[in-house]
Amino acid sequence: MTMARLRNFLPSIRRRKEHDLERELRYHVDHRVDDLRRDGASDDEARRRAAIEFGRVAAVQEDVRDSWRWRWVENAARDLRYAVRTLLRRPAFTLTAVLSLALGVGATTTIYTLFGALVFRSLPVPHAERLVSIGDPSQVGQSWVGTPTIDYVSYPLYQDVRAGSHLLSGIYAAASLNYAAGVLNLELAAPGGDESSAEYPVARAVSGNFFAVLQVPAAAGRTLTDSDDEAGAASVVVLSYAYWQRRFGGDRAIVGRTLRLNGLPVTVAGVGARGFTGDIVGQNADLWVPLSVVGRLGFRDPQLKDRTVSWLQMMGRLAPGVTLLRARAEITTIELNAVRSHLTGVDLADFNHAIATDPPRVESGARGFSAERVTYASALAILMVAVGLLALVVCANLANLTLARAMSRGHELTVRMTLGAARRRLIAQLLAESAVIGVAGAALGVLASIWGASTLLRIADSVAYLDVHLTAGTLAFAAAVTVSAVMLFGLIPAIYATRANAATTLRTQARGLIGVRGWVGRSLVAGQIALSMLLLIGAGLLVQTANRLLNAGLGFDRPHVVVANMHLEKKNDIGNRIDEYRRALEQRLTQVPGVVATTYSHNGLLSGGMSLLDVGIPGVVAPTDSAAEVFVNRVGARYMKALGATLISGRDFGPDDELPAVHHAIIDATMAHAYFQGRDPVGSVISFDSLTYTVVGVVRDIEERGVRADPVRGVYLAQAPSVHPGPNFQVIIRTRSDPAPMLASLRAAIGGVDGTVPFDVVTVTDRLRASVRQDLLLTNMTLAFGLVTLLLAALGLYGVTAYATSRRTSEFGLRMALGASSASVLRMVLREAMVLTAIGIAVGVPVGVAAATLIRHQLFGVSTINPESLAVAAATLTVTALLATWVPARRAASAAPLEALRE
Amino acid sequence: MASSRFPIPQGTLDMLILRILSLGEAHGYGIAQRLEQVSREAIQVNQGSLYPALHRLEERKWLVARWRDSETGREAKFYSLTRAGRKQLEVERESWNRLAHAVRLIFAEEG
Repeated sequence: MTMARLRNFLPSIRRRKEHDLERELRYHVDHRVDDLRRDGASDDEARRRAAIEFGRVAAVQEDVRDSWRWRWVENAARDLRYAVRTLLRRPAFTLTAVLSLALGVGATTTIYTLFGALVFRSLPVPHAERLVSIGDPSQVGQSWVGTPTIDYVSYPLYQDVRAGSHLLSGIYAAASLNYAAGVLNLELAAPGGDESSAEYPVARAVSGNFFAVLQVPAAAGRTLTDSDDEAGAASVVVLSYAYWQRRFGGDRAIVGRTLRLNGLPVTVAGVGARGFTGDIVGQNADLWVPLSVVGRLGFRDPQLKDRTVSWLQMMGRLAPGVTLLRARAEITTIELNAVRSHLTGVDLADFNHAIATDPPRVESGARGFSAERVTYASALAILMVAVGLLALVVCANLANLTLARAMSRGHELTVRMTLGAARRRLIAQLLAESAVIGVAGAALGVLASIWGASTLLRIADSVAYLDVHLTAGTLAFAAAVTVSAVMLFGLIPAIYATRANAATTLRTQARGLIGVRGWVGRSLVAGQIALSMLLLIGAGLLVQTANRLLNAGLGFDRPHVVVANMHLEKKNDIGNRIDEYRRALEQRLTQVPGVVATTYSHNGLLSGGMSLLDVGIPGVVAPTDSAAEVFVNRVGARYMKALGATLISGRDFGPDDELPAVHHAIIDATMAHAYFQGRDPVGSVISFDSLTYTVVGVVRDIEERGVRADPVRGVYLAQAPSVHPGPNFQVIIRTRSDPAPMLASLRAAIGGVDGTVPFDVVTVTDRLRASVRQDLLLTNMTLAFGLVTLLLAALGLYGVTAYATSRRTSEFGLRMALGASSASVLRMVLREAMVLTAIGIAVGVPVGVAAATLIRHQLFGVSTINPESLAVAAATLTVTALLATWVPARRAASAAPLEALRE
Repeated sequence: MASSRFPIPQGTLDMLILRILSLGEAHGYGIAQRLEQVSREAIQVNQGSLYPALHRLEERKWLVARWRDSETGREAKFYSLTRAGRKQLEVERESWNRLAHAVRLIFAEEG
């Protein structure tokens, strides 16, 4: 029955064969009839005799069919049924094997899914491979004021390139509004919603041809067109499909309605195509507005006419038949000529100098823009390697398990081979078991990876918008991993188990097979230990890195500093009374019990904001332009006290330093060292453009920009907030004890001054933790993989030792009968395990040290050859190995001599 | 024994087919006829039983088959020996000779 059904698997081949058989047999009978007739028989007589001689046609056909090759299908089906039955009879083995494999497949597939989504996947638009990005695709949402650049461009430069290009069928320009020009958020109030229902969608400003270039149609209403770029065009917005569904329930009536964006009434023109999430991988756009609307949204400048404000990225589509190479040559020429034609003198020389080392980047835009790709790709690549090692250890474990299984059936196999079973058939049967385990494990693994990928994304929430849906590529990857795993853990043991020569080993099979099993099993375990060592070394380095990052001093009293970011950009009316507001804030905050001091900072701590200015110092000639650049922060009185920074000489800022007529500066140690070699800078004069400042203090370096940032020359200028107004305004509060419990009262104090100003309050420690989140994620994942690998290696070691000792029970019994103490037997078993461990560690250390150089860019404050992490890894492995072998060793040592001998 | 023709011994049909095909390409009917001719009509072959054997040998790659016009003008399935088939024939001939020799020895002792 099964056979009949299986034949249907290959119906066309089968039909053909049946047809040929019928023809063949008919030819035979007809030929016989002809011959008989030639000999004189009548028609009927000839037919009758031919039929008798031939026998029953149907029976012959059935016999022929049996000889056909359907047998392997039938065999496979029988092997699989047999395998399932056998596996179900050994649930512990089966469960262990399936779960280990699921772990291996799940972990590798998870990381592959993330890696693939970030690094390999194309934008979900038609013919993404024809897209060309102009600029640096990783620089998403940057802007640069002052000099023209080629990483991102000004609007006039975009127009020049667009007008000049003939090889691209279209070029659009886009900017992320949420970052552009330092503005944090776009506030949307939906119809009927009140102030409190405001939200902050992710918006991208695009030129009108954005959708045309990407070839993305509208799901409802219309997309943007070139007419939306015109100066007098109406204020419109296009929603993303996902946002439309999520926020407006997919209501078609929303098209034509009016929303308020930053207070500006905008009409919903339409909804983008389903599945289109924008041109940035890792950040889904909620809505798109035309570039012409940006100015009306209250962003600082329309910036459409200014050549010195570079804020746009460009993406084009190759015209038919044009190669990327030709387009690159054309775009580069147009872009450079356009920039040069508006530059003169020093600026032109600077620009030529800059592009000599960093030419315009015209690359394939198939994968869209992505800042995360660069940030996370290297981390994910490391994790890929880590899970690859984990998968290898899983395979080794499974190989050991299957080998043990095959060996425990050694007698059965030997008997069957003696009785004439083909070795090929036995291997096929053992492989069938591996295949069943493989399919079950892979299915579980893929399910786990779906959950794993989305969970990981939640943990690393800055890449929460990657598309990690199951794809054919992911499934193919999982299948490849499984097939190679099954080959590794199924085929090798099957070959070994059936290698024994049946004729000679029926009697001695136990010993012969133990030898094989022992050798292979031990090598596998030593290999696992080496792989674990490798992972533990890597994890150790990353853990140390994470610790350094989290405990970095930053040059101030980090544990006790709290920052409050005030979102003043939405409170235009506060500009005139900002000094008053700030004074009120500081007054209220200093009244909160436990507050030592407060101040304010223009750029803020770990905020990502920075200002770079050229400094002039009498008597100091900067050898290069960049040697004159210093990082400037404008701060309030008591800044050093509020941070708990260490003054090397001079004094902190006082309230009088903020007066408009007073120009005082504090410089940091790096700057003092760079410009004042050995002399005390206090009292010296430095200048920015035409303004001169007197240095009143020198402070130890404060790492304001982040823990991984290189030390820079920094200078602090005392200024009231009103002198240099801007959207950034951070209040800094230092507390006497752990600030975490005080956050509520600090929030209450700030809110009590002006309830309408949005703000957030966070400890610097938390901010730091957030800034090194991807380091922590990488560390935790590697550590988790390392520990799982360790556990698997321990299981492997346990299995090998337990098996070896159980087979040697009689030997131990004999030794003890001859006077060996149980302690010496214990020592003997442990020693053997330790030798394996030592071999594994000895192999793992040089490989681990070599591998560590591959991750050196992820490390911070730790050298790749780190005795500490080597020692910890080795010690962890040794202890684990001891624990894993302790139980079987104890069992061996406690064997009663007589019983053991009798066995 | 009443009949001078005896049924083909178990397991020797394969060898006989290989032997006949070693003389040249043939279709099933031709093989059956030649089998009867060369054995001077001493061997009785149930003609239908030839085909399972032919297909079995083809599956083992000892024979290859092709369709071409036969002497009657109709297309027939012609079988011929492969290199492996030729080797197999030698193997079978060798073991048959050994068996025949052993059997002769046994009867010689008796006589």
